[in-house]
Amino acid sequence: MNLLLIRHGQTNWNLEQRFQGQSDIPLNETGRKQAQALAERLAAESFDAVYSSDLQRAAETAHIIRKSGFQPDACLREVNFGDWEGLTYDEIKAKYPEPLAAWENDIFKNAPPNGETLERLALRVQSMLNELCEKHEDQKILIVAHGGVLQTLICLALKLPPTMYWQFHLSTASLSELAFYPAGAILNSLNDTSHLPKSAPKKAWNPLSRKPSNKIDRR
Amino acid sequence: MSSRVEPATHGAIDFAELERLGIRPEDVLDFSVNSNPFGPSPKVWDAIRQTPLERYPDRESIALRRALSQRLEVPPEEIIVGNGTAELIQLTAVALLRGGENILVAEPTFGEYERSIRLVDGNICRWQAVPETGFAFRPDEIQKQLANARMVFICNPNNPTGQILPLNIVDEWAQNFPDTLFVVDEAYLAFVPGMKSAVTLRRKNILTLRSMTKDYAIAGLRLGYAVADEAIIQALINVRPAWNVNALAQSAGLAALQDEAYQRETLARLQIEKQKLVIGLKEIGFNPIPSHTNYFLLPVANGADFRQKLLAHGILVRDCASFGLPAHVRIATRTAEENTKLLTALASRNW
Repeated sequence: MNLLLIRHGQTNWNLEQRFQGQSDIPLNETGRKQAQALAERLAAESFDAVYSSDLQRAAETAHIIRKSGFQPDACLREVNFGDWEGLTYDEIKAKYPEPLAAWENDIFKNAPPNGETLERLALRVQSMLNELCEKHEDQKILIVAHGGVLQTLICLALKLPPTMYWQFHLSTASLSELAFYPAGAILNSLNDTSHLPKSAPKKAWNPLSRKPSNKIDRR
Repeated sequence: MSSRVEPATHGAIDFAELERLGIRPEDVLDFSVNSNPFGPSPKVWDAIRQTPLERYPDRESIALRRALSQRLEVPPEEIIVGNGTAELIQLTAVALLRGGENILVAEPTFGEYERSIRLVDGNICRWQAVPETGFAFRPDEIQKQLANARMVFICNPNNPTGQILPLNIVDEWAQNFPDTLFVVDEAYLAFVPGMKSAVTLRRKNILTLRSMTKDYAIAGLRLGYAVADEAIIQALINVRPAWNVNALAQSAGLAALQDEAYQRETLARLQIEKQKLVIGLKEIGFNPIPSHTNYFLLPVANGADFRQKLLAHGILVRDCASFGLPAHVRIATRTAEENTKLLTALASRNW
């Protein structure tokens, strides 16, 4: 199975670096243009199936890429950030210092208030991945989803612990490609944005770039 | 009277040994069995409670065979249910082999194949996977031994190595060696998502064995089945003991098949835990051998000694001496908390 992974186009919350999670935020103009660029890039390609998260920033991206349709799937929704959704990192730090510290200390086990643990996310992504492998053995599949979901999916496909997902960065409207073989998966490309206009690379929020120690949390 | 057959060695709790050590079985964390550690589905428990014990079980396991027939898309006549696959391995040998026939076994592997071949005075031929290649199957080597073999036992994915033999190779062999019966034991297939069963090949000279005790976590009940050409299944039925599958196992199997969601979720969880366990072991200096399954081999100085020392911590692993691997133990992934206990015990001293 060949899996093309697309992160949705930009939203205003992406631009303002707000935690989005399962808040249903639409694409902004830039996001729509990015999706259009993806559509042009993939125009000549055919897929045996197209799946998308049912949140509108992904679904709209999928719709622009494949007018012929796609299957929305709640399994591909972004991790639920609960009460933190809509806030920036600094706002969360001011309002929720303790839960944030706990979360950063063990993101796998600790959830934001009313949110989802990374463990839950990994579980639904692994279930989805297992189903895809069973259904689409020799096929080419397109997936449109979210940063957290796709970074987790890449870890699971490569048999890395999902706690390592901060070590992969996916930009909005980026393209990555995994090929699955009986002996294992191959990451053929990662975070390819060559279809997008060149812009100054923006540093996305990532706890690894903030933590004083470079020890990776692998629990 | 002397016997030409001896019991094979297995993992799991040795109740007599624990009694000698003064450890209660319920206090042991058992990493030596390759089963789904999350236990059976609640629906299995419900089915067990509703099973009448005063009645004889269905000798033909009809309801379960129908459910399997739907799931596998083969007629019920091509399925036989057994008291665990261990029983079906023995029935296969007794029904289909004669003394002196050559039977190829891809080793290291499950001990019951050899035992059942000995039972009928078959002539065991071996192909041996080696540690230098991570115990991978070598189809080119195995193929050279196929022409002489009446029957071949292949455990796929293999126990204890967790290696897999691609299905297209099994298919090719079945076509090129029509007089050889390929017994493909898929006891651990469910633990490798996306891996296809040899049942889908629909070849007359392939007998596929499937366990239901590992993936559905009902090892205590014993339940497995075989799928093959109707004539082969009939030969197995002819030598099968009456009422071989008890009523609880039949009800449990049926209920387990109907709760796919539970199965999917627990197996996905297990895959994630396995990756965490493997990384955890590497971080404390161990070097687990890569596998496709929930279990894997771990090279150690002395397997028997390693097992014994861990048992003092209430933790059981499988010493692989009986597989011909005295410097390895086999570890099966358990729940997150239990794996942490294993890692803590292993980090606590110099092994």
